Amino acid sequence: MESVLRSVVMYLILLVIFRISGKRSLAQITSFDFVLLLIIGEATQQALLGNDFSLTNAALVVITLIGVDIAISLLKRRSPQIEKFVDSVPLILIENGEMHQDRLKKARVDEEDILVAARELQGLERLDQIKYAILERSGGISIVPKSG
Amino acid sequence: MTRQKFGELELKHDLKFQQRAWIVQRVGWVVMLLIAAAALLGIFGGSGVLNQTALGDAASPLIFHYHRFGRVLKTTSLELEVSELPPDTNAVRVWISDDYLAHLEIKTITPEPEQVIAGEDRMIFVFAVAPNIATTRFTFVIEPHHIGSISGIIGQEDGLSYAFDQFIYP
Repeated sequence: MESVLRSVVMYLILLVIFRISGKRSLAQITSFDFVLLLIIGEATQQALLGNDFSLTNAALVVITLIGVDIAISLLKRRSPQIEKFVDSVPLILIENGEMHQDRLKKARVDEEDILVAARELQGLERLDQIKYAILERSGGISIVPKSG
Repeated sequence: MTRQKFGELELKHDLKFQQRAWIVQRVGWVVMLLIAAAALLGIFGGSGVLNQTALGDAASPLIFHYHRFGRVLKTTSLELEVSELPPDTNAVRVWISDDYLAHLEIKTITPEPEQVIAGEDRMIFVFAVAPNIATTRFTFVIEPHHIGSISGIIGQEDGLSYAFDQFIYP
């Protein structure tokens, strides 16, 4: 029972913490962020397994985590509120060429982040070539260029 | 959540939810900071000024040092400081209540007791002491296995005893 409870609680704690940390935390993966994620994985593993390193315990933990993930994905399909809480919502940063500065500030995105996405995804050179810039649920920025 | 149209862009956009989420996020950051501060102070176990405490004052023949908060499967220590020993004493008998011991495992005892005697509602530890010493210490390193509040009594046979409580985090 303990294995299942630990797994469920750990899943929910991680879900809440990563939601609080904000979308950009997940998207801006630098080398150090990658190391940080590895460390988080190590810390989580200790809490999940405790002193029990048996195959049975490991299997129970994995099954529970995947099971909770599936359950949440099913709940998301039924409830738009749960979907919003778990996955967040996309956010328009540039709309018809007009930049929403307040949203950029609150989302901790700056113009350079948008330019990087514009160059990488669309090969654009300047902000005025962007029609829409959307901060997606994943934390990435997608770009719709102006036509012509 | 239905898609909305922004010009030619179709999107599941909910600015009101996003604005509420930002508020919750900022509150969450403050909460995380407070949790870290509380942890530094010892509220979640480990060392920290709010965690370490003692029963018995400096003039007392028995002083008990322990931690108010612990974490399950993480060792913590109980330390008894016995003083005012009579000059002809060659053994000190210390006891811990059974209902406390039921929630944990004793990992080490320093120094090792000569004898451990099961009493009616307690475990009695008999320590050999050198003659003519005024003060000595006994340390029990324990590993809690129970989550939540645990209570116990610790004391010296035919001497003082102290009731104490600890909270063990999961």
